[in-house]
Amino acid sequence: MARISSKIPLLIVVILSIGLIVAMMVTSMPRDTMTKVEGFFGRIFTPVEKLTYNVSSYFSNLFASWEENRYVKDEYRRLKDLTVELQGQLVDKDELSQENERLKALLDFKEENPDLTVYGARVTGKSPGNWFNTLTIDRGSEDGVAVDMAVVTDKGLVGRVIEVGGRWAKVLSIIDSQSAVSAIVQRSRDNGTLQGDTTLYDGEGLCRMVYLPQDATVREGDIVITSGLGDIFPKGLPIGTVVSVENEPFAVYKTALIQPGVDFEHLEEVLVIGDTIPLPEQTE
Amino acid sequence: MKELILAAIISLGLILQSSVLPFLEVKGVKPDLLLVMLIGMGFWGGNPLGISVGLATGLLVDVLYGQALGLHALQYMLIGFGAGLFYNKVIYAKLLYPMMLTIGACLIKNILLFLYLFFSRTDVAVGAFMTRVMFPEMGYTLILAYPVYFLMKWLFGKKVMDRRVRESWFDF
Repeated sequence: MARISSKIPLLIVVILSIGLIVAMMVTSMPRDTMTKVEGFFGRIFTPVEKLTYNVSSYFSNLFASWEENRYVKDEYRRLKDLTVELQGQLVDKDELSQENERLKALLDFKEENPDLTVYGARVTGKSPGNWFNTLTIDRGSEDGVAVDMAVVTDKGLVGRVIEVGGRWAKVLSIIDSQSAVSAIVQRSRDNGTLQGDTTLYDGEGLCRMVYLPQDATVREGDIVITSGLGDIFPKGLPIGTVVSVENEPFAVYKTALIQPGVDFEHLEEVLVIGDTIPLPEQTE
Repeated sequence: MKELILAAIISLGLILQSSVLPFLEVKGVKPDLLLVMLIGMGFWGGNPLGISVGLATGLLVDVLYGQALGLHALQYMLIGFGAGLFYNKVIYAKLLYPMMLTIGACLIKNILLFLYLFFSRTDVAVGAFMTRVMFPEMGYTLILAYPVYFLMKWLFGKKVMDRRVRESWFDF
């Protein structure tokens, strides 16, 4: 085979690179709908990912349960001579009961918020890299899910839908560096913005609440909720708890570190919040 | 046949990356299996295979998970191309070379990601990111890379992969 000694292949790579950079610039703008190509690949990959995600989740839970049971048994042996009351403390940790608990908690959330229309969804995948924190779920436009709908669990806010396919959707989590949520401190009513920071979450499991007024009385242990500003997240959804407040002497704003209520590393089922006002019933 | 095998491998890699590796995260960091596979394909398959598989894989990741189309495509295409430059340049059987390429590829990938975030006005603490994410990811990816490269070397040694000793498509 004759060697291509010219610089044509390098030129191809450069042209492709420029094309991709342009595509990046164009598609990084907010979009309401997914392209047909995205929808097509989503339909193919989502069911397979859902299956493997569930299998992985099962083994992960099984391993965690096994570790926990081993610890419980060791403790039981050590304390057996001291008290017989501990004999009944073996806990059933099988997968089904764990799932029931999680689903019951989600149902409680739905019952506690009767004015919200919610759709149950399962997490089918997570973004491959470590810089971004997006999820895919198995509900899409055919199930009533639309862009900018809030995604929650019984523990609090997960994020918002950024793109929707027929039977799947992408969710930008609140810990992603590109996420910003208008939030309010429940006790003091101080307004601020919850800003995701993937590095901070990976390292310490925290988010940052910025733009708090200098006279804000926010303190450790305060609950942070959504403010309802911006028309994306309904007001009053729990986000997390304040763990510390950074107060620079000459800063214009205060910053607080927030521990999200949601465990983003073990997310399996979520609720997508639809319309906050129930739609009128259709008449024939 | 070769194309079908490569497509199946990449699809499997993507599924493992998005639905299995999240459960093997250590302090929020997971290895990049796709990057390892692309280096393997570029190193043992040369170019244009490295470029085309890198581009296709990146586009697939962008379509399924990306916030902007082209970001992963650019990273993976350049990594596939870079690995392809070493085709037949170093000893085929040594796994040390693709392992060294993995370190370089992790750096290139993260630099490109940082530039994207910088130009999209996202605030990123560089020092914290390097120590908490970039270097741990590099180490974790290297651990995963060895068995994957072992398998890929075996695969590209098979007749079905049509690995003829030929001159490189693009010399440097």
